[in-house]
Amino acid sequence: MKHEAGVEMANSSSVQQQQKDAADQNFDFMFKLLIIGNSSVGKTSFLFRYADDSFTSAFVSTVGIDFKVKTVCRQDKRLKLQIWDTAGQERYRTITTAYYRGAMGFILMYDITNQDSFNSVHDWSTQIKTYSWDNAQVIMVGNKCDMNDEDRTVETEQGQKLADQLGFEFFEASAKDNINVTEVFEKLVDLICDKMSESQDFDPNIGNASKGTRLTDGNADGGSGGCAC
Amino acid sequence: MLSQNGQNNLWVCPSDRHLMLRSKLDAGWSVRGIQPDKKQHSHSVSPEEMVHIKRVIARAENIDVSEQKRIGSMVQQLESMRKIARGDGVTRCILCSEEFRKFVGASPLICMDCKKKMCQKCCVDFSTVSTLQNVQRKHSNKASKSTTWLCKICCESREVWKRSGAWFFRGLPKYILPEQNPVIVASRYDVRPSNNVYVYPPSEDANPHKPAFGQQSSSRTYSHYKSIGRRRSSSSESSDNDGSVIERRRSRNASSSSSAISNASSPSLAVSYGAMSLSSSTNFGEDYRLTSAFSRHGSNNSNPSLGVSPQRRRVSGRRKKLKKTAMEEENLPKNDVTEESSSTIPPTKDSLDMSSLHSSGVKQTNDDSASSPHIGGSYIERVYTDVDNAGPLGSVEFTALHDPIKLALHVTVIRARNLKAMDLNGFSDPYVKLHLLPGSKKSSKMRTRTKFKTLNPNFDETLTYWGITESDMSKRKLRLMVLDEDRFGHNDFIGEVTVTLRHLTPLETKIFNMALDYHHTLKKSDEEDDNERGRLLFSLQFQEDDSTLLVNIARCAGLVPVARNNAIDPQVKVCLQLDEPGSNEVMCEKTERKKSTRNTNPAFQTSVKLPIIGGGNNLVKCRLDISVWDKDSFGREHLVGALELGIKSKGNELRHWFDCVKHPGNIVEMWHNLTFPPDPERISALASAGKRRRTPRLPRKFVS
Repeated sequence: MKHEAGVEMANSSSVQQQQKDAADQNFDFMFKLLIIGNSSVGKTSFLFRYADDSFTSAFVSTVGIDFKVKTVCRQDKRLKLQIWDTAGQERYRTITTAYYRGAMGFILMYDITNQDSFNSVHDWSTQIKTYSWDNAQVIMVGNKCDMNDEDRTVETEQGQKLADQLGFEFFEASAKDNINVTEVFEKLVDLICDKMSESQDFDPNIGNASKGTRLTDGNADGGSGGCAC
Repeated sequence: MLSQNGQNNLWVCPSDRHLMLRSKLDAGWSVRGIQPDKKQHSHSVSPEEMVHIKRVIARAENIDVSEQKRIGSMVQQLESMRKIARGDGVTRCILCSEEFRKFVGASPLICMDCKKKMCQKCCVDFSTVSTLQNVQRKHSNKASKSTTWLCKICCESREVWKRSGAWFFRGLPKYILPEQNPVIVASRYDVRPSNNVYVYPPSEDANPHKPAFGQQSSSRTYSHYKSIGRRRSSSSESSDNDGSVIERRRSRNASSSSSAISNASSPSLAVSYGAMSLSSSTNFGEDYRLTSAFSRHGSNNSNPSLGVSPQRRRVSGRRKKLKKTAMEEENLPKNDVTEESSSTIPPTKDSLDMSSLHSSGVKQTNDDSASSPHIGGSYIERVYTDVDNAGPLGSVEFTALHDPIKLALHVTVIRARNLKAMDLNGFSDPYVKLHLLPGSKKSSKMRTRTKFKTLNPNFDETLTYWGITESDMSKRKLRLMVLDEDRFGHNDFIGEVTVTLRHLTPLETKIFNMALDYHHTLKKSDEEDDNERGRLLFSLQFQEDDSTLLVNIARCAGLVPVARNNAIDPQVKVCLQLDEPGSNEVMCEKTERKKSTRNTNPAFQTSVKLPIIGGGNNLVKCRLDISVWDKDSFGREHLVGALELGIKSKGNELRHWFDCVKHPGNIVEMWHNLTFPPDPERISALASAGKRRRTPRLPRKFVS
């Protein structure tokens, strides 16, 4: 039987493709997180610190949206985090709010040296309530806590008080000095995991519901004893 | 998940709903109007920014698609489990269809979710599962006193509910079933590949929490997941260590040593197995046309050619009805790409499985591959038909595919037509039984689910034989029997076909459509081979720094049940000792016991770590005994088979041992044949000695 190199090449290219896919899917859960807050509070830096462990003090305004992916292990589960970094500027707001709906967790960030950014926290939380799912988890983060006290305009207590009011977890963090960055993400992931464990409104018809979407061969073998659950 | 709403142009304009919600709020920008960071040119986005944003969205779409695919494969797995469930849940176990008798045996349990009855083998103690998984920690604490039971299907669907994110969105997100692969391939590559290539840390075996399912089908698909995960971990490691991981699997006759693939660090890969040589240049994109030209040359009936989709699809698409194809395409998110892409990969039912097999078989990882566009390959499918007139018994249609890298033979039973009616009502309750000849009756038989009251059943089930080497393929025959399940008494034989596996080409799916034949009595040579005990796939890794030997028991195949019933509950024990007179110290470890009833091909994926007595230098002097045990219903253990690795062993075992000793740190994986040892007493003494000397067990992860 003569064999065709072409077939094999095709196979091998699909092999690589599929292999990559397989690698991509090597996780248990996928969480989408969103970082929001006023412009220049350090959202992008925060994300870069977490995802790449890098920091640059140069300020580059985020255009619209961006995201990074990181796979972590938490409570023996492999989690793929897709972390969205949003532009704080008002003019991108329609883009960024569109991504609220898919996010399971939010990091609401302000700058402890910028009173304005703290004042907007309330607005941001309203945004979350408006656009996101109601079971989304929120962590409030006061960034740039490495700054010395002369520069600080928002006291820790103020932040904590507001967070309590809004019902969010609260951290003060610094992307520059890598303070509490991982902790924030871990806490958020834990909150989501807890929420997941608590979720009891389980619809047992998943997969079955795909009767509508998935088309079987037209063999009406439905009644032949498949688990009806 | 955003694209699921079809809002791809979200940045253009807020939807009416958003505006409406905003206006209802008494807070926010709509009220305050003035924001400190509000720029003059608000709501104007420059073209460059637009391009940037589009790029990000395209990247996100990539991720979304692969996520949808992941959910799709979970859903499919769940569905295949549902398809396999045979009982009615009232008088018979919902899953394995075992009948509940009034006084004999244990009473049935009731599934918490579906309220159906199931036998004790098919249920999952939900409270323990949840503790194990840590997922339901809170819940289990509450319910720890009253044990709750779930049938395996419901347990799996809960798992899917969580893993797909459905718990959050209160409904299953959009997903792409593996059949619809072509769409994914197309949509992945019509967007610009991302610049950020994330290399994930080498992660552990896929899903150690997932309950192991005794049902054959589920463990089959599950094992695919697992093996992918494991391969991934080793391959990603290889990219780190510049190709230091040697992973080999060899056939028992070592004839297919050519199938051994080592990790070449060069970007082009050259794999050869048998007569087939697989080579690919780095430029996959240009091979595209070549492929179709070659495949045209290679196939008899089906001529896959580029761009010709509907026809091609009909032939290659594993006989999905046209109606289905049409409707499927309606359902697809991107109609425009379907046509083009369907010619690249036939939308076969298990194309994901097969291709994942291929992918995991080839160990070459090219991290650049993420950014280099390449196009999915095509499988040639030949139709072998001898059905002009179905004959008195009817016909059966199935496909067979041999993967010489993973040593797997996949048989998909598609359908049977015009079967002879066996029951008084004018119908039959057909199922298909596979038998690999020559081979033990118990271990080489697999069956599909029964389709009730039909003469034209559609099975669509894939059954996989593991550890099938090329020499097996040249010698063995596959026998398909169509039988009629009789609820009260002996099952009736309808007809059978036998195909010689020699005619299969590696990695090529072949479709058979054959008229059923009357019953043949088996030739003596086809009957049981007493020496056959089953096969075992495991890997060894010699860790020099802490002088330990890491043994990963991957899976067993074709285990021969030794207890009286056909069930088998296998457990693997691993013992390491100094092979010198006078040394009594034995390090023993064992895997969990697979309570799998009829599964003779259990996947373990369990790693055990054995300290080497007297330091790493002594490994050469050690011998490793691996034995597989079955437990009968009285709790007695029976030896299924064993093998020994050491400097005194021979053949594959010696080679494996040698590779392990010679390359510390490398994971060496190989299939082995189990034999019945000449000294079973020694093995059982060893195994029981190990009970006293057990070392703390590692979590079921591969520490590398």
